[in-house]
Parts: sequence; structure tokens; C-alpha cells
Amino acid sequence: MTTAPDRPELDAEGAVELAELEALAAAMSEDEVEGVPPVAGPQDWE
Amino acid sequence: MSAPASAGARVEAAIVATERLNPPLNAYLHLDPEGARAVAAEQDAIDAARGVEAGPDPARPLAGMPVCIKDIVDVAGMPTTAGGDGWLRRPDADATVVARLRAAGAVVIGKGNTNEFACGIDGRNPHKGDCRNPYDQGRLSGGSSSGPAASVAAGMAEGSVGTDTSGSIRLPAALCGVVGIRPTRGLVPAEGVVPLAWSLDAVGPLAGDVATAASLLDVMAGRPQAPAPRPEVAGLRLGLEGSMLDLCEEPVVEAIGETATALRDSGAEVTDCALPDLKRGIAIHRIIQAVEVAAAHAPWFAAQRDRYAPEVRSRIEPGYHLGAELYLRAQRHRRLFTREFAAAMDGLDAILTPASPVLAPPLEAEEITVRGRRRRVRPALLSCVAPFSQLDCPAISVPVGLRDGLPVGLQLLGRPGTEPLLLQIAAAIEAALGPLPRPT
Repeated sequence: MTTAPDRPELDAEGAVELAELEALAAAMSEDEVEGVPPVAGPQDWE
Repeated sequence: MSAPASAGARVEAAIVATERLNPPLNAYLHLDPEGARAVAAEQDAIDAARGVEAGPDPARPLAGMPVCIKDIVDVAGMPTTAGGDGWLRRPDADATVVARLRAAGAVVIGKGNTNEFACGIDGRNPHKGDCRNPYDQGRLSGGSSSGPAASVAAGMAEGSVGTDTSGSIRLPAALCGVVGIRPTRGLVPAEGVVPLAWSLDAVGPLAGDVATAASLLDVMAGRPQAPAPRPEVAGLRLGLEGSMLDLCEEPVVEAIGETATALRDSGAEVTDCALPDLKRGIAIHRIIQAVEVAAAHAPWFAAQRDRYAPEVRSRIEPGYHLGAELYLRAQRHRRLFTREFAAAMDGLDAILTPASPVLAPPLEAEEITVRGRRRRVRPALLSCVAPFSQLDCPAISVPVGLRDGLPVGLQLLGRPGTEPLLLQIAAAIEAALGPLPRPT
């Protein structure tokens, strides 16, 4: 049995990437997806 | 009409090409020429027993076709390294796609180079060596299906198996001048394939021409062979989004424009269309991929952290920090983005975009200049393919000529399940523009 790493410390490059991703996520409005379930698939086209 | 070349002759031609070209190109990480010759002899023996008058064997539509398999896809008897530093499994069973190809008569020549764990778009690999572009060995092949694209372009295989999470089939296909298909997600099974990001990964074929790519796709999807795609576009409505062209260098814009003209001349209506915000599409994609890659690597990441190339590690590690809430928010925006894209396709049969905004960049370049603006290579290469990778729809990169001696690729996007229609359009493009001159 293996365990997932517990939030490993980031090096500088990883920290920059994380900051970018967090900024991108922060720009995604919660209101905009009100009622939208978190499932994607070809069925979304129907 | 001459008899088709034997399996032995086709496989030998591929092996001879690997002897000459694999050392400089590094498209294959593992080769098995003797095993390939033995399988080719078996295929020829089956054909001989059936007799020439029996014609092609419908049960073996790929009989004698030499193929390259990306080295994140299991082939029994060959190592799977995933392009990593010391990561290894020795499968005793083929991945489902490989088993289907072999049952259809294809002959595996070897395992194709890849970015480390398929986590990259440029075809560079610090552990295994970079894969180089057959049209100019000083330039990028594109990745992560670098070996599958370069091997086909250089005649070291007639077809190949790649995977596409952010554009890893379409982008190297574009830079190396071959046809690459990202199928509707789920059409081709991923059993026996090292995952990168589960909800984004797609397995698909690359080939030197549209008919071969279509034939490979049918086999990989486990469905009967359809007739070769007919090059007919009369009456089709195709959308061309202008703002993406504004991000491309001039030779790419010129080649896409000429292709649009050729499609109009063939009877298609090519019309402007508007797509959802692609920067937002890339943001959604990056968050989902970061979390899913981190999860896929969790069993060994902590112990092996320092063996990853720094740029790959920095793409995986943030995924352990983002958390479930942000991941699910991105997945919900993904669904919204998909709905917006589906609406943008209303009234259209397919959408045309560039597959890459630039010709293959120099191998060592970290930045390139596009229309006077400096851009980092990685985001530039991702810009035309990644936004559409979360849509679960099919996407095909088809060559549309050489500029400055380097291939240009056009991307076709359609609704889920419309591969036959996209292949028909790709065949029309191929017929109108003629075959791409192969690298010398």
C-alpha cells in the first residue's frame, strides 16, 4: 500500500506554477457555475 | 496492377530506415527488428496459404503494416519506460489497442520516444534524449508523442499509436507533417496505457496519410473497417475562427488561408465563427490536468521526486496543493465551456483552426518571436490544441503544406462521434493539396 505525498514542499519553479494555477482558479466564478454539476463527457453535447 | 508489397518487404524497409535515421532522430527508445521480421514472416505465410487470388484479408486489415508504439503504451515483451528516469514495467500483456493492432496484422517495430511521462509538448526528454524533427534535425519534433510522429514522417513506420492529453498527438503531427487523430474520448480504450490525466487522456493513431489513419482508428476502436474516407466537402459548412490566426506566424496563416480557399473551391462553405474564450479554456485545462497528474503519480512521487526533470516536477507537484474544491470548480467550468463550444458549432459541420501557431521551433529555443512579440515556446505550442482537449470531441491534425521547408498542420474539430466526417474533410484537403514531400 502506498500513500499520496502530503503536500510536498515546492521548489521555486513549482511555487510559481502553483501561484499561477491558484490565480487562474480564483478567476473562475463560483456563481457562473451555480447548478452545473462537475461532470464532463460526450453526453454534454446532446 | 502490381501485387501489394509483402509484409516482409514493408517491415524490412522500416527497419532499414531505423538503422539510418533513428540514431540522429531518436524516435525509437526500443527496437525489436528480429521480432518484427518474425511477425512479418508469419503474416506473409498466412497470405501465402490464403493465395493471391483471395485478395486482402478482411480479418487482417493492417496485415504487414510496420507500427511504432509510444513508450507509455504496453507491448508484451518490450519494456515500458514512459520516458522516465528509471521508471520501468515489463508487461506480459499488450495494451488493448496494441492487441487489436496485432490481431489486425500490424507489426510492432518498437517503442516510440515521449516527453517524460507524456508530460510535455515539445518532444524533449533529458533522460532518454530529445526526439528531433525529421524535416530539420535542429528543430523540435513536438510531443509528447514525439517518436510516433517522427517515426512515421521519416518512414520508420507506416503508422503509430500516440496519446493526447493537451495536444500530444495533434501538435507533433503538425510539426512533423503527418496525420494525427485525437478521437472522441473513450472511443479507444486506455487499458495498458500509463495515465497522465484520466479525464483528459485520449489514445489515437498517427499516419502518413488520411486513409491509413482512418484504418488504424477503426482497428483501435474495435470496429469494422469503414471504406476509405471520400474526399467530398460539397455542401458542408465549416467555421474558421479569425482571432486564432492573429496569434500565428505569417507562413501558418498563409497555409491555412490557402486550405480554406481549396475547400471553398471544392464546394464547402467556409465561414467566420466565434469560439468561447480560449484563455479560459486553457486555464480550466491546466487546473484539471495538474490535479489528475498529481493523483496518477502519487504512488511513487514522494520517493522518486528528485528523479523527475525539474520542469516536469514543477507541473506535477502543485497538484498536491490545489485541493478538491478548486478541482471540482474547474470541472464545472469545463462543462460550461463544453456547452459554449457546442453552441458555437451550431449550424456548422466542423471547425478549422491552426494546429500550431508556429513552424517547428529550434530545439534549444525557450522563446520565439511571433509577429514581433516574444512568446515562451511551451504556451505557444499548446495555444491551438490545449483549449479543445477538455471537450471530449474528436480533433484531427492534417498537413497543409510546407513553408520554409517545414510542415504546417491544420486542426479539424467536430462533435463527439463525428470522426468519419472529419476524416472526409481531411481527405478532401489531402486530395486538393497533394501529398506532403517527405523529408530527405
